[in-house]
Amino acid sequence: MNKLSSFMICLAFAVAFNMGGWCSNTLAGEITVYTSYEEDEAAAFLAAFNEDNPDIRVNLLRLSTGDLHARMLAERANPRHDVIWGWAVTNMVDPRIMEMLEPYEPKGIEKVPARFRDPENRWFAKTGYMAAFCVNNEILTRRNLPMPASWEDLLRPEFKGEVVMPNPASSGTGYLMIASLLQMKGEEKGWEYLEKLDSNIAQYIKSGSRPCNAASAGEFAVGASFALRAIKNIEEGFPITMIIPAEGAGNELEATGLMKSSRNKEEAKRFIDWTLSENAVNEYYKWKEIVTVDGGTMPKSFIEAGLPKDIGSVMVEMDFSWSAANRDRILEEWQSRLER
Amino acid sequence: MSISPTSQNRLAQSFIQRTAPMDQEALLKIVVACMVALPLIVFVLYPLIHILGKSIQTPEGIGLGNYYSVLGNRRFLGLVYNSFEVTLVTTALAVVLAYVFAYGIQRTKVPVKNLFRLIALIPLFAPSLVQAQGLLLLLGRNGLVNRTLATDFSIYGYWGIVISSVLYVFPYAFLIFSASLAMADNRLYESSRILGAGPWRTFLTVTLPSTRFATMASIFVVFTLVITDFGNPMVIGGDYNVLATEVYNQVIGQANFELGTVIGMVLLLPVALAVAAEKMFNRNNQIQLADHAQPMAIMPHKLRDVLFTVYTVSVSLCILAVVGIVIFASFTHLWPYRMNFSLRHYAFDVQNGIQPLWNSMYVGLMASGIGVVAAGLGAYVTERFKTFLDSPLYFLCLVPAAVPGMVLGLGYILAFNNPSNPVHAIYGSLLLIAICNVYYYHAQGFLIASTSMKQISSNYDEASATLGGTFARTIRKVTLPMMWPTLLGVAVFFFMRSMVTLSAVIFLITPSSQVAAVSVLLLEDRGAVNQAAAFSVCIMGMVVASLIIARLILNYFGYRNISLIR
Amino acid sequence: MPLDIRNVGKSFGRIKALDDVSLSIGTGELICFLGPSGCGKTTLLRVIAGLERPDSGTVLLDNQDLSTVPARKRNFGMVFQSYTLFPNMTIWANIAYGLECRKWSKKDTALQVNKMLSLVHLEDQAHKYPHQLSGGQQQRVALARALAPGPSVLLLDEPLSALDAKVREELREEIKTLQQRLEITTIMVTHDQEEALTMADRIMVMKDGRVMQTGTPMEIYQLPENPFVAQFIGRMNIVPADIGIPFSSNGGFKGPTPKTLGIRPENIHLLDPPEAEETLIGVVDRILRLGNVTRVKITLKKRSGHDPITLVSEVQGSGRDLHIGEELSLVIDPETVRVLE
Repeated sequence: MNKLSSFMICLAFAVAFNMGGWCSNTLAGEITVYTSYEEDEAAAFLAAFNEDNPDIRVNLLRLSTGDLHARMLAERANPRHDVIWGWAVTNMVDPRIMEMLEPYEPKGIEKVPARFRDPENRWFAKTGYMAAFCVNNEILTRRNLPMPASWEDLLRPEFKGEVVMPNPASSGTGYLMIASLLQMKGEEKGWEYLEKLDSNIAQYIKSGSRPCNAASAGEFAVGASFALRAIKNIEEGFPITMIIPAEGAGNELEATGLMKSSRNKEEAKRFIDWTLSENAVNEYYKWKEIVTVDGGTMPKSFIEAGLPKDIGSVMVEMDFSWSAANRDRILEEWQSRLER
Repeated sequence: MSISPTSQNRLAQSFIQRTAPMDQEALLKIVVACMVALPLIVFVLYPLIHILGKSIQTPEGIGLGNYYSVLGNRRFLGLVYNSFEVTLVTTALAVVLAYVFAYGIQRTKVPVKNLFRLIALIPLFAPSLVQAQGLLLLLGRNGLVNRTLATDFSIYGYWGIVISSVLYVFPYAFLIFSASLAMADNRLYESSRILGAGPWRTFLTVTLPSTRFATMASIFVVFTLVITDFGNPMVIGGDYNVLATEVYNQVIGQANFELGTVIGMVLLLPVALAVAAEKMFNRNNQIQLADHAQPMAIMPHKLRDVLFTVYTVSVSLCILAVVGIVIFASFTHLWPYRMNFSLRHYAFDVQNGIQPLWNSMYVGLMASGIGVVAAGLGAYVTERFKTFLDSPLYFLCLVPAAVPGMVLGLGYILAFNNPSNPVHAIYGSLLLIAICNVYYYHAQGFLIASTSMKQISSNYDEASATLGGTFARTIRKVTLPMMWPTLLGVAVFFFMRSMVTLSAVIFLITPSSQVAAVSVLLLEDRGAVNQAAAFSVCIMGMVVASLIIARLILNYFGYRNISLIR
Repeated sequence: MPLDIRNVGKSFGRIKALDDVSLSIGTGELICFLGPSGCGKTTLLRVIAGLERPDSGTVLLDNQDLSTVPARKRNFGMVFQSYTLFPNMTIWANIAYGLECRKWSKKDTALQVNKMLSLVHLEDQAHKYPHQLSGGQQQRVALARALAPGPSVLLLDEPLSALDAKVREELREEIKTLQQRLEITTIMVTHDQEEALTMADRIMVMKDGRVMQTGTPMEIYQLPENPFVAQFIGRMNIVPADIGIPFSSNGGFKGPTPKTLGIRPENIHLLDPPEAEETLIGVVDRILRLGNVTRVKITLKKRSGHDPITLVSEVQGSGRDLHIGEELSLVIDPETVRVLE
C-alpha cells in the first residue's frame, strides 16, 4: 500500500506540474481567432498567413457555426477572441453579435462587391458555400432511378423515401435551403413546393453535412447538402455525383469581423488585411467554391466534380438580412407545417 | 450563592475538556461535508444559476414569459411524450439487460470474466462517433445486415434511438449492479438453500432485495442519461424529436439561449422528482449486508453457467459488433465500396496531429484523481456522516445528472468567463476541462461509489471509534484500505469518460487546450469520417493500453486480485 | 466502574426507540438487556457506547456525565454481533489496534496482545486474517480486541447469536469466566432468555423502548411484574382474576382489585378424578410428551358468562396415565400465583 500510494502521489505531482503551462495568456503579437472554416481549409489558410506574417501567432479555434454562435453569445460579457473569421453571414447579422463588432475598413476592401459587406463596415464576406445535392450513383443504377438535375426533379414519385435534407431548425445549411427556395419562388409557391417535396423526404437530418454523408454511405439516393462536402466526398472516393440544382443554388457567405473587445487590435487588423491580400485570395480559390473577390483559379477537382466555372450563373442572389430577420417566423411555420 | 473564582475556573475547564473532543469531531465532519459541498456549489450550482438567469430573461425584462411560450406550445407536449416514450423503454431494457449481465459476471461461473467486464465498458470509452457509425454500418439501410440478408428495414427513428441509447447506457447500469452484486453475505444464501428455496426463489427473496439500492440508482442514472442525451437522437433518430434535441435546436441551431435554457430547466424537474423518490425509498432501507459478509462461494451449476455464458457472450458480441465494424472499416480503403486493406485513414492530417491524445490523457488522469476525491468523499459523507447536511448534499451530488452537457458547458462560460471570479484563473486550461468532466459525470461516479460503500458496513467505523480510533485514523487505517479497490473503479470510470466526452467540453476548449474528442469532431465536421473513426480507434487503444499499464503496476506492487473494473 | 443511565430517551422519526430508561449498574456486574427484536436494547447499548446520541437523559460513568464524551474517548470495549474484525488486518493487528490508538509503546503493545491471545486461546492464530478463522474464533478475537486496552466497561451486542449452538455454549462459559476474572462491568444485549438467565447477574427486560422489569434472573423468573415479562421469560398461564383460581392476596401486588393472574405450568397439579366442588375442573385437550416432563393442555369447564379458558400444566414424568378427553381437577397453591395486573 505504501509503495503504491507514494507512486500515486508522484504521479499526481507530475500531472499537476504539467498543468502550469496551460493557462492561456494572450501575449502581444498573438491573436485569437474564431472560425467556422473547416479544419483543413483553416489550416491551409493559416499556413499561408504565417508565411507572410511570421511575427504574429494566431491561436485558432474552429467550431461549427452553431456551436460558435452559442459560445460567442455565452462569452459576450468577456469575449476571448480578437477576430471572427469565415463565419455564416446569417448568424453574423444577429444584432447581439453585431454590437460586439468594430467597424473596420481593411486594405483592399474595395475589391469586395458592396453587396457582400456591411454598409457600416462591421463585416465583409470573401468566401461562401452553396447548396448542392449528393447523389449516389450505385443506388441510382440499382433502383433504376434517373439522375435528378433540379429541386423540381426531386418531386418525382420514384424518389419517394430516397431524399434526405437537413432540418432547418438544427442546421444553418437546412435553413439556407428553405430560405433560398422561398426567396426564389415567393413565399406562397415556396411553401407549396416544400409541402410537395415533404412527401418524398425520408428524413430531415439534424445536420448540414450529414445528408451528403448518408448519400455517400449508400443510405439514401439523394442528400441535399453543400457543394464542398460533395467535392470532398468524391475526392475520398465515394461513388457520388454532385448536382447543383438547376433553379439555382442557395448559398451562404462566410464573413469576417473585428471584435471591439480585441486586446491586440494592431495584429488583429493586420490579420484582417491579410485575408484580402493576393496570397489569401489565391488560397481561397484552392478551397472554396464561392470567392467574392476576383483572382485565382478554380482547382481541377472542383471542375471535375461538376462545378461550373462561372459560379455566379448558378447562385441565387440571397437576401441575407431577410433570411436573418424572418428566421423565427419561417422556422415556426416550417415546424407547424412540415415537422414530423 | 457565590462560586469562587477557582471553582468557576475548574468548571469552565472541565466543560471545555468534555465538550471539546465531541465538538471537534462533529465540527470536522461538518468541515469535510462542506469541502464536498463547496465545489459542487461552485462547479454545478453556480453555473446552473446563470443558466436559470438566462431562462428568465425576456425582451421585456425578467419574467416567466419564456416558460409560458415554451410550455404553452402544443409541440412541447409532443416532445415530452416522445422523450418519455424513449426514456422509459430504454430504462427498462437497459436495467434488465445490465442486471442479468452483472449477475452473470458476479454470481455464476462464466469464464474469462475480466474480458467480458472490459467489453461491457467499451461504450464508456468509445467516442460517440464510433457508436453512431457502427450502428449505421451494421443496421443502416445500406448496412451489413440489410445487404447480406437483402432486407430493407430502416433503423432511423424510435427504435434506432432505443437501441443506440441502450448501448450507450449499458455500462453505467452494469457498473452499478456489478458493484452491488460483488459482495454478498454467503450465509444468507446458504440458509436460503438449507431452507429448501430453489435458485429462483433465492433470487427473489435474497438477491433482489439486497440490490434494491443499486436498482434504484441505475434506474435513476439511465433515466437521466437518456432524457438529457441529444447525440443518439440526432444521429439515428431521423425525424423523431425529443426534448434534448429541442435544446440543441434552440441553442445551437437558432442561437436562442432563452428558450433552450427553459427546456434545460424543465429537464431538471423529472430528475428532482427522481432524487426525491430515491431518497424517500431509501430512507427505510437498512444496510442489507452484514459486515463480516463472507465472500460468495459460487457453486458450479451446469445449466445456469451455460445459460449465463451464452447470454454474456451474446451481449458482448452485440457491443463488439458495433465497435468492431468501425475498427474494421477504418482499416479498409473505403467501406463498403473498396474493401481492400489500407492504412490511409491513419495518416492524421488534423490540427496538432496526435498531440490532443496526450492532452486527453492528462485530462483523464486529472479527472480520475479529482473525481475519486469528489465522488468518493461525497459518497462517504452522505453514507456515513449523519449530519444535518446529508439530504442537501445528496441532492447536490445527483443534480449534475439532470444537466445536459451543452447546458453545463454554457453555464461554465457564463459563470467563469469573468475576470473577477476566482475560477477565472484556470479558465481555458485543461484543469477546468477536467473539473467540468468530473462534475458532469459526478452523479454517476457518486452512485457507483455509494453502491459499493453500502456493501461495507458502517460497523467498522464504529468498531474503530469504540477502540479509540480518531476520525482521521479510522479513514486511513480502516476505511481507505477497504474502499480503495472501489475507488480505483471510480477512477477508471472518470478516466474513460474524460477521454471521450464532448458535449460540455466543446465550450471550454481553447486553441491551446484541444483534446482528442475534439479532434474527432473536427475530422468528422470536415467530412473525413473515416479518419475520424481511425482517430477514435486510437483513443480507444490508448484507454485499453492505460488499463493494461495500470494492471501491470498493480501486479508489480502485488495487488493481483484487485480488479480495475468492478 | 459504576454506570448510571438516567431517563434516556431516543426517537427515530416517529418511532420511540427508548422511552425514559433508567438503570444503575454496579462495578463488576454483568447485566443483560433482554427483549424481542426492536425493543430498543441495542439502541440503548449504542447510546451507552456513544455511537448514538440520546434525545434526552444522560449516561454517567463513575458519576461523570458522558454526554459530551465521544465514543473513542469513553474507553469502553465493544463486541459486535457480526465480529466486525478489520478484514485488512491480521488477528495480531486487530487486537493491537486499540493500543495503537492509545499510543502504547511497541513493547507494551506486543506484551498485551500476546496476553490477550493467550486469554482467548488463539496464540497460534496471530498472523492469520479474519476470514481464515471460524466464527467462534473470530468472536474470540473480537473479545480480545475489545478487552486489550483495558476498558472500563465491556459492551456485548448479541455476541453469540451468529454462532451455532455448541460454540455458543462454550463461548458463554468463556465470556462469563473472563468477565468474573477481570471483574469488568459488562453489558450484554441478547434476545435469548436462556443466555440471559445463565449468564447475567441482573436482567433488564425491555419492550417497545421501555423497561418492563429489572432484577436478578430468579426475580425475573419467579416474580414477573407484568404479563409481558411473565410470558417472555419461560412459560406462564395468564388468566383473568375472577375465574376462581385461588391466590394469596399479598402476592407483592399493591393495586386495587387484581385483574390478571399468572401461573407457571409446573405449579398446576392435576388430580384424578375430580374431587370437591370448589376445585377447578378441566378437560385434557392435548398431551405433549417431552421426556422427563409432560406438557398438558387443559380447557376449563365452561362457566356461565366466561369464554372457555385454556391452561397449560407441566407434570413430571412421562404422564402415561393421561388421556385426551379425560376430566381432571386442577390444584394450585395460592402462594405460587402471581397477580400481574
